[in-house]
Amino acid sequence: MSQSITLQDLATLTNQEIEQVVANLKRGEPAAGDTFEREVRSLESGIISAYKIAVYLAKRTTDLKELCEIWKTASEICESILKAMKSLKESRPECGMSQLYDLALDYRNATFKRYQLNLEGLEWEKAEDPAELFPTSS
Amino acid sequence: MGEGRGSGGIISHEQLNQLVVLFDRSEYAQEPDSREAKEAESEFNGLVDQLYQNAIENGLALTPAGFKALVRRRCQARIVADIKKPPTMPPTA
Repeated sequence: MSQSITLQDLATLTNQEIEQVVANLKRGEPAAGDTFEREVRSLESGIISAYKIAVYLAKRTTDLKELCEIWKTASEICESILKAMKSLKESRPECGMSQLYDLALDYRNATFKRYQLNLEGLEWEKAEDPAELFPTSS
Repeated sequence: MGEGRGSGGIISHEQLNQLVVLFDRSEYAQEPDSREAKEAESEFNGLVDQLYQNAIENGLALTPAGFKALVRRRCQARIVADIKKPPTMPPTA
């Protein structure tokens, strides 16, 4: 079995982390803002890492279905953070919740746009390039 | 338009190289919301639109979306091929 982490694994880890942050908040924890701020920073880096891994993987394949999967998963990671943070961003603005929400929104839009463009590309997946379109030996 | 062709395609080598660079800077930007990424995306889309006009003037029967999809596919293929290319050894003295 391969021991390498996939984007899907990262999505699972991020979801667990989100659940932890939300559960802490519901229990009225943490009392200290430090811990909460650390959790917010960790979620931020989760978004950025997911995006960078998606870029790394996307740059290594021309398979449009695979590209759709990559960008969809990255988009879902951002989306899950967005959903969880939507109601919380006003409750803890002092801990950077609002910035986290904005970051997740920007990255969700960026990843979803890439997903959509590759999805649209699938329609022409089987189409041959018109002979006169591209230079020869490009 | 039509300048810089001379290589048999409606899109010249030079234009294709420019498209690949812009696509790389926007699609695979390390920071998707950076100014560089946004500028590259805008330039890429502008160039694709311009080349599409040229293509239909040359009788190419494609929709704008189809044209863009083929251009994106070609750019993706070039970038992936470059990454998978084995590194060249530096010349020995």
